[in-house]
Amino acid sequence: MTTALKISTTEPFTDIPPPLGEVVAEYRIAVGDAIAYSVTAGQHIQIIDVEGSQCSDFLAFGGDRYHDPLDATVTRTLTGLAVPQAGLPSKVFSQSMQPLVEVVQDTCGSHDSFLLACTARYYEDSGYPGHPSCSDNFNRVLAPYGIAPRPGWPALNFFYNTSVDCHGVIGFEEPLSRPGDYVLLLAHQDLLCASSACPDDIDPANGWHPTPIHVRIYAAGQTFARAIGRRVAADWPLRLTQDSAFTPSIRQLTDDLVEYNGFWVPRSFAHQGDQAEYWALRQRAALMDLSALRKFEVCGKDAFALLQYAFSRNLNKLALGQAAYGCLLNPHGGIVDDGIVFCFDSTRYRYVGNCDTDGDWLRKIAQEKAWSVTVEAISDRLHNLALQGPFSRDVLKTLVPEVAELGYFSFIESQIHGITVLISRTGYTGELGYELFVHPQDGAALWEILSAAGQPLGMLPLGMKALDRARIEAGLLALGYEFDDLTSPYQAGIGWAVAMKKPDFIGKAALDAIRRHPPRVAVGLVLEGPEVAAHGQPVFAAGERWRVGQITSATFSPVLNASITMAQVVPEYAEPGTTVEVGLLDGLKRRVQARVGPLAAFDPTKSRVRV
Amino acid sequence: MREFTVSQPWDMAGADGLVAARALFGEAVDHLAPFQSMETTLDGLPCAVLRLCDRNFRVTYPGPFDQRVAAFSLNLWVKQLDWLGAIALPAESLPAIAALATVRAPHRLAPLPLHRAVPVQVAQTAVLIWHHHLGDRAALELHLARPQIEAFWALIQPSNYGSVSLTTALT
Repeated sequence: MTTALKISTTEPFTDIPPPLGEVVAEYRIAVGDAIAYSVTAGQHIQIIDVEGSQCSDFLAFGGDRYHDPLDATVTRTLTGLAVPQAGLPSKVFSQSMQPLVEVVQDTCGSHDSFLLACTARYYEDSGYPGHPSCSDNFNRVLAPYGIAPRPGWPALNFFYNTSVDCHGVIGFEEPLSRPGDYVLLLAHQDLLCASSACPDDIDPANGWHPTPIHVRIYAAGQTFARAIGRRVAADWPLRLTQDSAFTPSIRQLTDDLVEYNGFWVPRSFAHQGDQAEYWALRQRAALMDLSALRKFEVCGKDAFALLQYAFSRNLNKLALGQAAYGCLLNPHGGIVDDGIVFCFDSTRYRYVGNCDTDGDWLRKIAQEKAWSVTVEAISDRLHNLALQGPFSRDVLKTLVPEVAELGYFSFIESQIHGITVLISRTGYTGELGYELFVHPQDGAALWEILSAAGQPLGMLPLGMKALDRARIEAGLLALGYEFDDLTSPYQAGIGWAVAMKKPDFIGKAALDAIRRHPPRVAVGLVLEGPEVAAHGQPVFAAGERWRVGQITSATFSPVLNASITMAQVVPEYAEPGTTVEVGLLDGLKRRVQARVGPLAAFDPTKSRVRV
Repeated sequence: MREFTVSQPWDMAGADGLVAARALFGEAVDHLAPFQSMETTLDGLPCAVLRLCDRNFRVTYPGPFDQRVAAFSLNLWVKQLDWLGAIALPAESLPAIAALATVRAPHRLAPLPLHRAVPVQVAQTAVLIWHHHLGDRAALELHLARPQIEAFWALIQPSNYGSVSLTTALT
């Protein structure tokens, strides 16, 4: 009843990533086979796809005499996710709704909880009677534990790349897992587990070529950081979710953290809530962690030439100590990323954007042009807070008096209680505000100093939920919502940030054509009634069947007491005051009238940020 | 120790739940996040408003709240849930209750500030603990399924640590 056990100290496996901690047992599941194994509460289970593109179905039984099996439907219902993720909704539940295991790390992110482990019937129906199956393999290895056989086991199918399309059809493709990808699970109780190396070789489920799976069990009492693995580009290494310099301080105040662009960020703060955070931002001051932004140092005699060519704004107008918002462009006029360029001098700039790959793009351009410039990623040396709100200046000038004179989109380098900081008068909220860039080693101290300085003025820490509400009110763009690399600045609503008078820049010819009649333009909509729209919902011409655009972001604006959206509509329906209809639900059952207005529904003249 | 009185709360929910709440209690109600509450008056009578979701509210109000809301002709329902019971405990009993309770993240029970609520499990019983004023004193108002009140009551009695009297609660 016990499967092959190999101890890593005597026969280490060299084809998989090194252990994460102290290993008490490890199992190599042969191609097409399955094993059963027991773990105790507090131990971690690491399921590794050795060669990549290989499914491993997983069962767990908890409770007295293992009578309480893993239940994927219970798990989906309680987590609200198709498959639990590392982070807050991470637990895998049993039939009796007890947590069995918790996903602690996941380097693949593509798994299945809807389908059975493969069954004999599937193979029979496909013309392969007698083909081995995961379910039969599970029956065999679980029988010694008194577990009754089933023709098909509902399992958590790791690395199984399934999807449900808009017609309700469940499909599957080759797994996304690469060699060495793994899932790390924490056992919440003593468990009997079973794992398979799926034998399916008749379809793409295992890339047509089944391979082994490796299982490691780590000793109880060890702690592994929660992390989701992301690959930002095909040629980029896996990146695990990380804490910023401020996250330990933030964790004291909330357990509600989510993964955002490779960092754990707060959604809202305990006993505070996004409403209170939002009003603190609009009426007083708020402090937020924006370390997930990516920073690049652009240096050299051709630094100006590179950014003048790749960035949409005219940097000729940028003096030392000034910054400018704009976007990186591609040759067809699409937005590679939006961000801010800081000018230190004509041979030294800093670009702050959203994507790790921005640096690759800038280096590629520099290489093609044979420019003498270096582009260095410095995100790991520079984390940043945003202090925003009408009282933000009052808070900050108690620490840095010269902030009182700092102009809009200007920056200074200064000291706060001996900590070196770069302070820019920039933000993402539509309020007067500042961003403070600091070395991570000083992050915790800076958080405490700013928190203490803001407390007398009612400053609160602010999470992503409140930030999203504020940025939508202010008409500020979000990557993946308002733009991607197929969206031009004219469609996204930042045509003003394109310096068409520059002699040459990437995408100029394409943008010159697009700006005359962009396929869509960005507008703001104010809906009738309180219902909130959602990204992707259609915008119709009033009373017509046909669409004129779609919603990109939506929220309920407390300060306006109205349901608002950012939307991209055809130019013919972009005139302020035009009445359109937003299709809620399926776009047929309910349509709500909306009025076209400025992209920023709140303070469209930006008077608050310039005060 | 003074005893509390607690009345059966009113629940209000629907597409226009927030519209109704703002009309009744003013803009301040939209400053509340879920599981936060405020004390106010309605037609001169004291009431407490607990926000449970964007458009769901629970209200303690001694009068016919449903009739008060009906005048708005909005898309929502108002009722007293006959399966939901309410009991009150002194605020000082919070540590004793917290010791028995488990809380699912991201909720936190320690601390539980005034005008905040949190769903917890005490043994097998699901309880919403609401920290707010009853009369002129801060107290804990506990909401749970009516059939479980008796068992819950028996469960918390051993947690009477002497200085805190749990027996002052009224249902």
